[in-house]
Amino acid sequence: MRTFFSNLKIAHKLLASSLVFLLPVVVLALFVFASFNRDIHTVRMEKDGLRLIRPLSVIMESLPTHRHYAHSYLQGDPALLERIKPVTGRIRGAFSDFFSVSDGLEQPLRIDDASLDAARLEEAQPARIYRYWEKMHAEWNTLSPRESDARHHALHQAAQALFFRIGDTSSLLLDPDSDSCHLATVSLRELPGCQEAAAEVMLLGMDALTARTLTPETRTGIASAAGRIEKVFLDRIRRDLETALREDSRVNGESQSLQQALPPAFARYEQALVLLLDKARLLTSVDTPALSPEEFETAGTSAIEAGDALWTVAVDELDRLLDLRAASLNRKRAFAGSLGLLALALAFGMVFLVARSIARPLAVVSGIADAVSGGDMAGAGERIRAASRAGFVAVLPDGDTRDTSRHSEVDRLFRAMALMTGTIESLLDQVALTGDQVAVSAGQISESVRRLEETVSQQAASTSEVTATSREISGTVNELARTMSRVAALAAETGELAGTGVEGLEDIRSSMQELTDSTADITARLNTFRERTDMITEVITAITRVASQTNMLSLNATIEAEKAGEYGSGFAVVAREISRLADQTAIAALDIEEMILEMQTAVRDGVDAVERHARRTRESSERTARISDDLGRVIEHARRLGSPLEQVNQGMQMQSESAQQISVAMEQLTRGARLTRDSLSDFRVAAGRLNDSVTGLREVTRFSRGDGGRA
Amino acid sequence: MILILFQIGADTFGLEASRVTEVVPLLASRTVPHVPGYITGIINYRGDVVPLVDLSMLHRGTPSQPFLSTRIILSGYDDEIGERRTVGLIAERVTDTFNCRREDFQPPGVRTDGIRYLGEVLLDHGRTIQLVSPERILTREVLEILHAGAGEQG
Repeated sequence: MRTFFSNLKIAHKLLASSLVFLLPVVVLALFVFASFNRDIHTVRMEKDGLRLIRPLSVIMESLPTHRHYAHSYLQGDPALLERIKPVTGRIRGAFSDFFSVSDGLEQPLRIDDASLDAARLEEAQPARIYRYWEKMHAEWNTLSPRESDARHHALHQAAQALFFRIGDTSSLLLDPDSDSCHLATVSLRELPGCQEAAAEVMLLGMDALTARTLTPETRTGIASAAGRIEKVFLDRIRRDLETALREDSRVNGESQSLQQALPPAFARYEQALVLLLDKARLLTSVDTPALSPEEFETAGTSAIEAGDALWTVAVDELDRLLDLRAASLNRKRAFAGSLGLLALALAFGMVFLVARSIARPLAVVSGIADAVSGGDMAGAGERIRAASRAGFVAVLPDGDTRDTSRHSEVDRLFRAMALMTGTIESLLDQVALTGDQVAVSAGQISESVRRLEETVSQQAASTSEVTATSREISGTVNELARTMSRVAALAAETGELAGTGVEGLEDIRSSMQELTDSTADITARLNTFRERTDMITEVITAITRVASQTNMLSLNATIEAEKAGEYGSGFAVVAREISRLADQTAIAALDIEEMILEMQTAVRDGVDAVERHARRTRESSERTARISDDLGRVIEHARRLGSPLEQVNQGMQMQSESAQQISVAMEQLTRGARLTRDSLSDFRVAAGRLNDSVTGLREVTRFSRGDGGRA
Repeated sequence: MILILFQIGADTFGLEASRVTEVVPLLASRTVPHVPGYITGIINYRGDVVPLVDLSMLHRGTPSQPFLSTRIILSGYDDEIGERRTVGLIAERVTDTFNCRREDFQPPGVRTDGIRYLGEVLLDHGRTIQLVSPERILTREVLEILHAGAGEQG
């Protein structure tokens, strides 16, 4: 229900509200119209009532006269037959008038038989009255006077009942206006009553004067009637007429005819009545008044006629007043109706204009908003300028912070839209700039992230290597520890073994020593031998040298001998002998040299061998000594090794634990590196999303100032 | 005639004794730079500067071994312009002499252009003795060098 209402357009809403406002207005209008109509209807009814009453009053007025004449006739005065005829004719004419009027009425003022039955006024039924009258008229001259009186009385009563019924149902007796109501009262009550009383006075006086006797009842009758006239009716009539005349100007404007016709008519009536009353007083007060019945009748008749005239004037004026009232009511009704319609039209026009004045700018604003939301900033700006040109609003320059509370909502909306659009444009520009910067930064971040990732990967790899290595270390250290304990055990064993070995070594050492000594001895001998042979060699060398020189001598001698020719033959022989000598010497020397060489070689070899042997022996001895020392130290160490070995073992275990811890730390490092890598990849994803956002931002910035040409 | 025999390796060579001034043992020599390798140096022989030629080096490329039998054969000759020259030839196994006749020599059979200092051969009881011409061992260029160096020193 709520959504239905909120989805209505402004025009519809305004229409709905105005319809809601229209409701009481319409109701009031209806009431007003109804009251107008009711008043107009009342006027018509009153007029209808007047139309009915006119003939009826004739009847009522004529009936007493008719009764009187009938009574007199039935009492034996045939001259009245003639006098009764016009009365009868009048009455009959009045009846036919009445019926023609009542038949012509649209709404017969509830004097139909059914209504009168319901109101328990059966006797007032017009048809019944007419029938009664007809019946009476048909046989009137056969009735007894008392019966005639009674019938006339009944008829009069019925007519009067009908008269008052009509007066009620036509609301003449409840006439709302203060001028006409008095006229109505006069016409319906007071004047008929006065006329009746006047008729009674006249008739009774005429009877008395005709009979020349004034019976007490007659006198009483006359007196009472005169008294009624004098004390009641006349005053009342005067008062009512005066009130009517007074009030006349107040109600529907002064009615000229009323003002002019009524007072003289009343004056005449009063005058006539006064005359009659004078005559009646005269009659009643004086035993033998000097009055003739004709005089009395004339006075009475003139009074009655003046009364009729007054009644006619009153009724006519009443009619006219009713017409005036009806006209005034009609005017007022028309005026009210047209005014109302005009106001309604104005209201609807106003509503329409208001709706338009709201809806159109709103449509423009929503168009601007659509343009902005669709990204067409240039279009939005154009719309704003067009709107300000079209005069929707005076768009203030940007940044104007004048108090806007004085302006209309539409103005404020437009201003807000213009400001917003401008702000959005500048924001988009900034966003574009920022987007570029962010893109650059995002690219840099991506690059850094990539490099970081590589580094981290490498780090992870090296860390895992380190982990593996540290695990290996740990394992190795464990192995070492185990090995160390074994070594400790072995060292102990070794110590024991070494202990036994040392003794044997001592023997070896001593024998080695002996060997060394003997070897040195041999060496010394061999050296001596070598010296000898060296000496021999020197001798040999000398011999050889001699041989060589001898040989050379021989050679040179041969040469000289050759050069000397025949003189040198002896020299040649000498040279030959020397040469032979040299040869022999040389050969011998050579032989010796060969032997010596062989000896030397042998000796040298032997010396070398011995030397080698001695060297080896020395070395072995030294080695053995060293070994012995080493063994001794080893034993010592092995003995002393226990605790350091234990310490080493503990150290190894601690190292193993440290290696374990390193391994653990490395694993943590690996995990950390992996987390870093994961967060880096998250970072990369974020950088990627940043890139996407930048792309999205770039998309947004294409909206700024128009097309997608701005990348 | 009488030949002074020497050996280079396993081969026997001979030099005419009439051409030999003297045979001396190996003396300390002074080396001369920028000369062929077979010229091992110069010696002072009775006041004269004599170049030494290592025949083993010249012939085989290996220097003579310093035995007692390795001696310097001082040989004199006349060079192309008729000057008296002396050259010291270092040779191995300079111990024997050999008596022969000129007619016993035969052409060497194999003649190479490079070995100008070798001459005819003589067959004797299984060994071949080849003649050496001392004047052909030293070329003029080498002599120039030697005497230039010697001139500077002397």
